[in-house]
Amino acid sequence: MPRQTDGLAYCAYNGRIIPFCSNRKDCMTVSVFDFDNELQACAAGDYGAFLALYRQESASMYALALAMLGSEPPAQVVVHDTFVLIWRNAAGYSPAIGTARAWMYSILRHRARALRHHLGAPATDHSRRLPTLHFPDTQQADTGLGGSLRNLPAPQRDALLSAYLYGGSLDTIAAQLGRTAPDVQVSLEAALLRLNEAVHA
Amino acid sequence: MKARRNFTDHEIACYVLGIERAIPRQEVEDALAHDNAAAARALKWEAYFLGIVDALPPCAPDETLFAQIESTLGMQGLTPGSPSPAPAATSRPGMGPDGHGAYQDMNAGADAPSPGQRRARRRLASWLRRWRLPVALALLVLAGVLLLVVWAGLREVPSTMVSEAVHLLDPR
Repeated sequence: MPRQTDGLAYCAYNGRIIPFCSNRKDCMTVSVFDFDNELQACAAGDYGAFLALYRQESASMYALALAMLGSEPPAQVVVHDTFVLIWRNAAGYSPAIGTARAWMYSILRHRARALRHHLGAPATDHSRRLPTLHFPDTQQADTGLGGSLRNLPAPQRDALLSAYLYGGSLDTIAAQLGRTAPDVQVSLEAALLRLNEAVHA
Repeated sequence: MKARRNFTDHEIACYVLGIERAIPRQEVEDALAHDNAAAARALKWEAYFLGIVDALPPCAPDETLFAQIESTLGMQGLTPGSPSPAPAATSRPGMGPDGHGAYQDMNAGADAPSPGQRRARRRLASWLRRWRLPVALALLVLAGVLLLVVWAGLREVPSTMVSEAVHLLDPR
């Protein structure tokens, strides 16, 4: 049975205590889950580590896949394929290249984009609304990368979110947002600059 | 050999976001597959954008999904701590199999067969549909012949054994 401690639920598993986020607000900026370690354990064939990764991240991955694809069946396929690829390619991951979590999401987003392309999703879908982002209210969350994302002006954040979820050309992103392509380009460049500055600040 | 160009941090960020620009995605993917610095920049941006993921309300997938994943990977019946088939090692640390980057189509589908395999399977299915009756008859005949052979081998053979010892060197 999971037990509640400091905003995180902990679950005894395979002799280890595995934390997972029960309260996303507390988990946004700090995650105590060691993705790198678990992914490297997967590379060694540790089934428990694979299950821990699934338990930790499947709900967030599914939420992202749903936001990208708009319906449940393809989102399930993408999460399925992502975890299969994570297991099969875990040995190819190196912490020297980047974080394990970023590596996992690069696979998920690549699969989601490929599936959307395969399904022939329209470049612009005006019926699709950008999902609402829920940023934490804590003072700590105003700093760093999370704070920077939260504090982006709405036009910049919307341009970034639309590109991240749906991709496409500047024209299609602009059409999605009811703006012009140069306007979207300016917003995106400003947003990327702010994110980079927030990390290096 | 065509020299690979170096992409700026901004170009890589746009690629990771999924923005289609004048630069073909294939060119960027080629750079990511062969240049660790470029791959590191791509994962850096992917990590920055995780703030968006964390701000989306999580949503649990179908309860049967993990069982499906286990089934695809042949992990059914495993319990935590039990040995499982280790995933195949890939050719280049940080990248996917065959030196491909995480942004490339690692397996072109987690369990999807290659186009060649799909063609072979289609040919086999079509052949089986066309020849199923003759094949079934041939299998029946073959089974009958086998039964006959087994029966002939097992049936009792009239004994030709000499029951009395013959003493070849008997001086009698």
